[in-house]
Amino acid sequence: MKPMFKRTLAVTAAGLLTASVTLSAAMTGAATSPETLFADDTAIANGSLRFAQNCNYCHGSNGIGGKHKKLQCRDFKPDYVFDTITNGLEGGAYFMPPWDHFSENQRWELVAFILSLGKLDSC
Amino acid sequence: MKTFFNLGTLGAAVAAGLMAFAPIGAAAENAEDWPKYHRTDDGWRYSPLDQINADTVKNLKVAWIHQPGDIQHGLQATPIILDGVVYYIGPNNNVYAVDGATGETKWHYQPDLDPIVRRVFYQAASRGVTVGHGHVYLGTLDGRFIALEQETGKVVWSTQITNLEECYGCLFSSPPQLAGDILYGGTTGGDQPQRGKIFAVNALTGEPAWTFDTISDDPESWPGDTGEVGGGGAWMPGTYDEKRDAIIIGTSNAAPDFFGAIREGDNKYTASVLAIDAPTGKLNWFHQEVPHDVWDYDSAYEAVTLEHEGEDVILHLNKGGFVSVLKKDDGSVVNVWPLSQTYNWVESIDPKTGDLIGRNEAVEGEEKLLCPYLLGVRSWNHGAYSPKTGLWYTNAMEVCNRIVAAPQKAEEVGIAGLYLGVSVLEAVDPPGQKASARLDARDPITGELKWTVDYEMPGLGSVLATAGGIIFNGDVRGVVRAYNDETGEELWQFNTGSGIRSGIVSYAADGKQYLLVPSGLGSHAPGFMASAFPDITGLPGGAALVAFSLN
Repeated sequence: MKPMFKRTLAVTAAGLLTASVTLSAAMTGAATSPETLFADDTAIANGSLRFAQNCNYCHGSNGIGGKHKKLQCRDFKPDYVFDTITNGLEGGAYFMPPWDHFSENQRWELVAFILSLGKLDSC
Repeated sequence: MKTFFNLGTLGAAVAAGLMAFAPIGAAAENAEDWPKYHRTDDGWRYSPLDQINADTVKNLKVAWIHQPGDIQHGLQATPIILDGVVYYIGPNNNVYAVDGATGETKWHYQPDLDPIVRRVFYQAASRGVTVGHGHVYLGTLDGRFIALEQETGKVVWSTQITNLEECYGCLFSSPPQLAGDILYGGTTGGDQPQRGKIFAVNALTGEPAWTFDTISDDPESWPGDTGEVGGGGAWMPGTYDEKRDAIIIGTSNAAPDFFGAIREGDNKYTASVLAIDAPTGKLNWFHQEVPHDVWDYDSAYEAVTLEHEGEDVILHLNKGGFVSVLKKDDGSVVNVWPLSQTYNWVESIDPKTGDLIGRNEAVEGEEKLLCPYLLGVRSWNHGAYSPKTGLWYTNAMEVCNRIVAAPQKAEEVGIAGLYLGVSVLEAVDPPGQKASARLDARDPITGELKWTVDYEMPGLGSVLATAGGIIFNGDVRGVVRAYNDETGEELWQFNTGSGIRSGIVSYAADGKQYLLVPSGLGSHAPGFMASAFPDITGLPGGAALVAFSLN
């Protein structure tokens, strides 16, 4: 289990999604990352449904990419994904609103699904 | 100096020709201006200027570039031009008045927007401003109508219309339109759990005038309280019918988009064309193109007025891929023809009545391939009609979506969330063929195809037709092209560097005709279509107003 602590994420992503973000648990309300969810088929399925209903429009079906670069076959740090969902992300022409109306558990389920996209057979 | 475009100096024969082609009720329009969203209330997007023509278009060069300094969601506006001054809106409601001959900024205005605008789905973008009564009007991202002094950009009045917290981010992404002294407009989309409304204020004072509820109170139409989250946003600009003192405006799909089981009924007045009495807000007539819509088939697109067999008719494209031709007096159906070549959501539509025949709906727990997909046979970017050729020119695409319908709790949809009612949703190829895109020239009444040009990816900008015999269209890479309006032959192209998601227009200043291209890819459409058109992924955004002239 990762402790809750102030951390700096220096994130370099090609194209429009370039950001350097300083976040703290107090700012984000980030919970300890529930790593057990990442291998939980139910959590991944819940995240998949929530992704289809809310995220497809910009990230493409199953994270194939769209306005933003693809989420498939990426090696994300779970906390980075959680913090981005929670706070949103702005850069260049596009920006992502915060999705903090989802409960922490719902956001971690989304993280579990997005991490699963890094392990597709096609990767 | 050539003054082909100046009506006052035209030869009699040419002048007679232009008069013959003049839009209905447009006698007072100055050929040099682009005074309204579609230039005229007939929705033609046709400039009567002809200095730029098949012989001269090859000589077009960049005259000036104006940048709004913000590129979020690109440039989606159709500029307004009056007396040589360009009025346009960039990202995050930055409004500019620009000298049309030089590109010099005359004034700049940006409202202090409520921070809630950073939390909603439909962010940053606006499709234009409206100019009239000595004012420049805008609808804001935080739910206001604002009037500015046309000369200075100073605020005359500001009226809060909606509360985004209470309506899942319902905001004004399109410019409110004028109908005499009435200023009216609707809010974003049908994809949120909201109850659609059209708001009208006194254009001179900003005082509320009337509100039209796009969700019927009839329990046969909306069981229980389902209408409270039924969608129906009139999110595109309407047009004014001066002859009848009426507003013609379309509404969005019903919500949740694909899961209709909770809202049995015809779901009036979603997916409908409305004629509303401008002074009172009373409904004159309506034509519901998609009763009980379960495909996300908005009717929000432009109404193009034409004269057909001695009567005024409206040409109206629904996202579902069919064009309705309606009598303007009462909304009765003259014809319905398919622009889509791969539709399967119905077997057909009765061309005499508009009735849907053989509905094919998404099913809970079962995957279906439905065509066209949710972005439609065309996105909201408008077509153009040329009275010179009698043809309507429009972008089109053939794309389907793979769908599993699913219940969705409206109360769990956040302010940035969508109320689609799906568990699977993906843009895919039509059966047996690749997803495709094109620019069509068609007879507006019968749909007969005159010529077509294939596109690598769907065109997301509005088409411009001109008296010079040129059709201008932009692509998602930023290339704007000129075509012969009779044949589709390409005559000229220029790469502006970022995709066209706006309205290309033409005007004249100081004796010179200009082509004005707002460049800068934005909106949500490129994201959703990426699974069908992978090359659209990662195309650069931007924002630049690029003016071209012949010397």
